[in-house]
Amino acid sequence: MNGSARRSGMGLVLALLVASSIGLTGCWDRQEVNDLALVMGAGLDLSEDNKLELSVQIFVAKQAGDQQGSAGGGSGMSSGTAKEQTTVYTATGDTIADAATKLQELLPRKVFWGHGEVFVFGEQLAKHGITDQTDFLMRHPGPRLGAFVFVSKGKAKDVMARPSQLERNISEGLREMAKSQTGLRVNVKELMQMLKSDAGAEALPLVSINKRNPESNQSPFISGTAVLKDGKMVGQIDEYTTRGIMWLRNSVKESVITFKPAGSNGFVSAHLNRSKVRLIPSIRGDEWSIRVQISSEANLIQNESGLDPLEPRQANRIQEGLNDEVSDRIESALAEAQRKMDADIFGFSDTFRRSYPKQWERVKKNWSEKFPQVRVDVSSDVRLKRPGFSGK
Amino acid sequence: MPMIEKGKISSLQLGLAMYLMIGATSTLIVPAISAKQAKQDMWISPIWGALWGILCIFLAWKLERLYPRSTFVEYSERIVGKVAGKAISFVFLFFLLLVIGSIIREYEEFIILAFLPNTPMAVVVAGIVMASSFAVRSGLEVLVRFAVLFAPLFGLLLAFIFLFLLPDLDWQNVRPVLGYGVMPSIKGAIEPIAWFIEFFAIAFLLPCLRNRKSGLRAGLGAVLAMLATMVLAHLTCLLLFGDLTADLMFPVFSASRFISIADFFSHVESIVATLWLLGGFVQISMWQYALTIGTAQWLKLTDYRPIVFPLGFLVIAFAKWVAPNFQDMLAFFLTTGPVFSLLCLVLIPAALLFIALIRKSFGSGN
Repeated sequence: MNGSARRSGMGLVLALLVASSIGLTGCWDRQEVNDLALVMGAGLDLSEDNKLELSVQIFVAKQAGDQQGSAGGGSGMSSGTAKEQTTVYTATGDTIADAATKLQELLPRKVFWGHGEVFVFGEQLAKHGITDQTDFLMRHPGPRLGAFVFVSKGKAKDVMARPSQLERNISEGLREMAKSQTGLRVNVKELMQMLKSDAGAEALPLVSINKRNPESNQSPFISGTAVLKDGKMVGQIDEYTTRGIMWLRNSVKESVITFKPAGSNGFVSAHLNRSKVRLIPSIRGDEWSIRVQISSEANLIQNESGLDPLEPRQANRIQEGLNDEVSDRIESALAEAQRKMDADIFGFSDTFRRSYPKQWERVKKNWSEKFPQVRVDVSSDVRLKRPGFSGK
Repeated sequence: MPMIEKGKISSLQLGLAMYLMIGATSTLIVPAISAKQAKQDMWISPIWGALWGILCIFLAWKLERLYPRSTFVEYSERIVGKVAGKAISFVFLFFLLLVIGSIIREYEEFIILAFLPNTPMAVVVAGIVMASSFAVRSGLEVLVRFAVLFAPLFGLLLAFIFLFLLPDLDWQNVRPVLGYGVMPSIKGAIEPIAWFIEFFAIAFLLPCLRNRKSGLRAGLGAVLAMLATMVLAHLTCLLLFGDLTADLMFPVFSASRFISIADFFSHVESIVATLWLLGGFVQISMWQYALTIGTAQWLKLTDYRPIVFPLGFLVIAFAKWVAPNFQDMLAFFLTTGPVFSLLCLVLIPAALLFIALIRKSFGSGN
């Protein structure tokens, strides 16, 4: 009696296990890799009739497979195929989501955003405003907050269509360039934070196509900074001044600075690393000021100035020149962004809010009037550490 | 009346079970809601919540001291009489149903939003309730072993999210600490408080403790562990997202999606969600256990096993009934939820304790 009851109990458990295998396969959300169109990056433009034009770069897995298959006997296949593993599709719609739906109609596979590492806003769209578009990037479960964001000179579509000579595709190329921090490096999360902050200004890396190279490898690169106010692009800053912005945003990883020390007519180049920047705000009465404290270490990599870096007094002159040069760069960034554009892309507003919350509450509404009046004192402490391999 | 639950648990098992019973959901939505009110002081809000947790542990412990080896359902009858006691217990059991419904719903919304958008809700809910029902049927001793297995994993998971994100964290985001006074952090504590007062659920586990003296210590240990977990989760969100935390639905999950180390260690959210669900499984099972044992005692049954599956079905239904959609679920967490919790988990027990103390001091209690 007892045994049969136990046996029927086991039977019930078995039946439940079998039944659960039907429910647990996840049939509703099954996604096979060979049914997905992996978006590597996307370009967003404003079309001529003021609609949104979405150009996505899609990874072509098929070609990668073919290439392997034909490796033995292919003759004409060998050139180029390794680089051309992506293709660009374009669709137009009222919003990104709408354009993505139209895009889906063009594709035999399901659009998959999870690998989208790069989003490029075209210049026209950036001038028109990007705030509305960023909503998709945060709301849709696919795109990642860690994806990098750029603004392109000209159309983003043209950027996405370019090949990358060294990387698998241009999305990967742009991502690597952002990570190496030769220019600004901004991801979706940071863009959203800038848009939400009281500063009212955003800075994004500006991408343009390198026309100096021969036709075959005119690939896009980061050529400066796009300055936006409340999500609308108001101006751009060149590569030289961008370095100053990066100093102020404490995002300089390493850099090479070339300058003429005072009293000599040759150039000196130094490689800077371990750079750190501190912004120290202070409010005295009505006068708001920020002290920018820079510390960095420099190693010489070229010296045509005739100064002897092994001789302490002359080494000091090189070091002074270094500090002047860094200060100059920061000065030029301030002249552009603070005095000309009145765009707080350095995060001064956050600096003040964190140290003076009460005073900040009173000023934050009129920040765009206060910001140009903020006095900035730069104190640069770059130390010349090593003269390099040459003892001359 | 003999106890229905024959199992005995140790204080460590009790502590870890309580930790997961309350803690597993505390890192899903709570940081976003705290951030809305408390902004950069959001990490302070759980500290206010923990004070309430300590209060609730104390209430449950004191009541069990007065009425040894009995749960809330049993001593409420002995304190205020049979009819009133039954009525209070009924409200409490109904409240438990609602709590389980909302916990399961929260998980379900998270899973469907993040991973299985096309899967019917009933499948996701029934899947976990079936597993937890089997666990409940196996008895408390089995349940707490799950907790001992998964609680350290859950704690480590959050610690690892924090560690892997270290390069991206900006410590400046915590400033100004209390720059706008303590009020924002107290306002932001509504949700942490609503979670911490659930520690009163320890009332259903204390009677099974092998060494009754260690109950208070285990409970307080669980509150502290949960406090550490919540502060860590809040800090992770704050340091990574800053003010943006308030705009995210599941900020800790978004943070885990942000992990990317050396280009190859990234896209780890599936692992994160799996570990999360293991904690969630224990959480749901523990609450379902409290509901089942309470109902069995309320009906004066000699065994609780036969009603596990019927109650499981009811739980599935409640997961659906608790809110028609996501935004109503959020509204429930901010309005009805905390008020109902406060009534059932703090006010009623406090009143019971008050009456019990009076009756004991006049010697009319047995």
